[in-house]
Amino acid sequence: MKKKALSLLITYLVSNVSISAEHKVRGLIDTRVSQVDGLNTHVNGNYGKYRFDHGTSLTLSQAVINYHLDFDAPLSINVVAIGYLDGIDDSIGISEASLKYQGIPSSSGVRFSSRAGFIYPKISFENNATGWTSPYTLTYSTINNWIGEELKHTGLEFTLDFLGKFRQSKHNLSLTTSVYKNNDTTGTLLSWRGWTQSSRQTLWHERLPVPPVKARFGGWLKHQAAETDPFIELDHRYGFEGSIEWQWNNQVKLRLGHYDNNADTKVFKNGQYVWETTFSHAGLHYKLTPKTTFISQFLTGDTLMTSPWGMPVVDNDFQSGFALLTHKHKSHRYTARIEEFSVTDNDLTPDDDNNEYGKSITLSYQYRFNRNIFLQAEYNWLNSDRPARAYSNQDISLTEQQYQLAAKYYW
Amino acid sequence: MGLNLIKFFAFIFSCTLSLSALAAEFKIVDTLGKPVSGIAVYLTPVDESKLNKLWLNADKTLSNKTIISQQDKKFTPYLAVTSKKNSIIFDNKDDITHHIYSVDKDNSFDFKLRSGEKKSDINFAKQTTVAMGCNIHDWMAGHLLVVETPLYGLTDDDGKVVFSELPAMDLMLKVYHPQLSELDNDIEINVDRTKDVSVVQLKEPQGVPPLQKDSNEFDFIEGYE
Repeated sequence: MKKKALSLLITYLVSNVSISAEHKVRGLIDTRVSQVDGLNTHVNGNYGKYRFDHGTSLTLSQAVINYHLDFDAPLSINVVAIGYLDGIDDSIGISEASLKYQGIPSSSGVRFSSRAGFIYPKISFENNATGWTSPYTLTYSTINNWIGEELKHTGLEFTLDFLGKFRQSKHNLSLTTSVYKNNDTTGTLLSWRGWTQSSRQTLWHERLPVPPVKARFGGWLKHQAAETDPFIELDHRYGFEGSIEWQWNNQVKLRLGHYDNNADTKVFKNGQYVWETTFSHAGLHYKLTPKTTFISQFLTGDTLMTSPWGMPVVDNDFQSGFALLTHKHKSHRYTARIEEFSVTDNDLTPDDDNNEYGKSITLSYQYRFNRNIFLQAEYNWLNSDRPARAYSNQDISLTEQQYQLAAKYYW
Repeated sequence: MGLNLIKFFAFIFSCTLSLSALAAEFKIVDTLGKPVSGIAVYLTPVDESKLNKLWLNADKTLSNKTIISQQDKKFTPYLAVTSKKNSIIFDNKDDITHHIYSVDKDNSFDFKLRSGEKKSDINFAKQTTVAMGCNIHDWMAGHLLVVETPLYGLTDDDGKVVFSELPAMDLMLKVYHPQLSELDNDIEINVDRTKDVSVVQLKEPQGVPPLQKDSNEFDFIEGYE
């Protein structure tokens, strides 16, 4: 039966799909000069909040290639590859890969679509440009930076859109749900590193170094590997995620969602613990005027890591929220973002204090030189209290700052 | 019953209008008297059996093509009007692909139109209205009115449609726009040939057409949201 279905599908694909398809290659080159006044970067396992080390760096921050294969049938394939030449961890690999089906709306405006593959859940209202980059700022908010580092998954996503225009209504509604795997360690970096502000998305093959939490060195966390693998599958259980989005007149988008990776924390393999992570999120994208947009997101949840016998070892609550205002005037774009974030450590594990509280401000100015080339200057200020920094003899209360100049070429 | 009553009053109202109106130039104004552009105006014979005669007398110099462009991620014009004998050309002037569709039960179609491509094999057998969208850019919206008469046009910025000559028969004027009230879309006015310019006033305010504008002001958006 399965074989018959498979052969039917292949026949369909060969006979219908391969007849006509359009290839499209898009991308981004993002080069920067960055000056960090703070700690060395978390990308290398330190406690620095930014993606570059203390001092000045000249980098190819990201080179993105987005390959899109669009069949005449309602199917398309999308693959995003990213390369980093930043002197921190030079790397190249796959960031996303998916097959998408999108049906035609019914006469009442109901449309079914689906994505399968290595995908981002629909949470960010900042990262909507080529290669999941932000058109507004060089660094992403702490929420979306976490999503970029730890929260992709391999899964199947279903969306039902209810398009109002077929009922002469200005209201659209969209319901999305996913089942997925390959994110069993989600929560690791957020716990041990805290919230960070970067622009580096984790690639499929990458492993990320864990900060020098004291309990890792002979303490309760001594079996944790030095690197976490964000997309590993260990417990073979499916996680779930769902969201509802309301859109009005193409001006207001409001999204509420919930995420639960449904992980079995008793599984532990090759130094990788399974973390049970759940959170709820809300996002607002409000076009105040044709030139001015307000974006805000809030996320709150918890993560749990236990011993193979079920004893809680790391038990954290986390929260983060930001408000962003962006104004475009001719070739100029001005963006300001404020954030507040925290991690609350609820366990009693010695030498593993994951508490954190912080605030940040981002000011960004972008000049559009021509259709493809953007010059951007950005300033970040971030103040945080993180007792774990004492493990590497750094200030618990710390203000870090970053200045960046970027030339970006989108095509 | 209520609808019949409305139609009755609409009829009385149109008769009143027709007393003071109509020849070869038609002007549509709103409830405040300001010209309204982009409204479809068409003339049909009062005696429907004379439709063939109308076609025989039709101005042969008129274009027999109706172009619906996709430009700046918009349907341009938002409302197109054509006759069932015309060929319709979808012309993608953007540098991206559009996936154009209609979900109307009697006239459903969908096709992907690559950048710079045209498509001209969509035809309609009878008078109808078609609501269209793009399955990639949900904010895009377009409408097509197909009429059975050769006498049709869209009002210009002055609210006017001009017909170079009218055949010698009794004609009736009708208007259409997706954002007009049912009352206005039901307007039927006998053409008064004694007037050079005939003004038709809408009975209710016109609804606001959709903006056809993405909420993201950036050229390199990839549909992550």
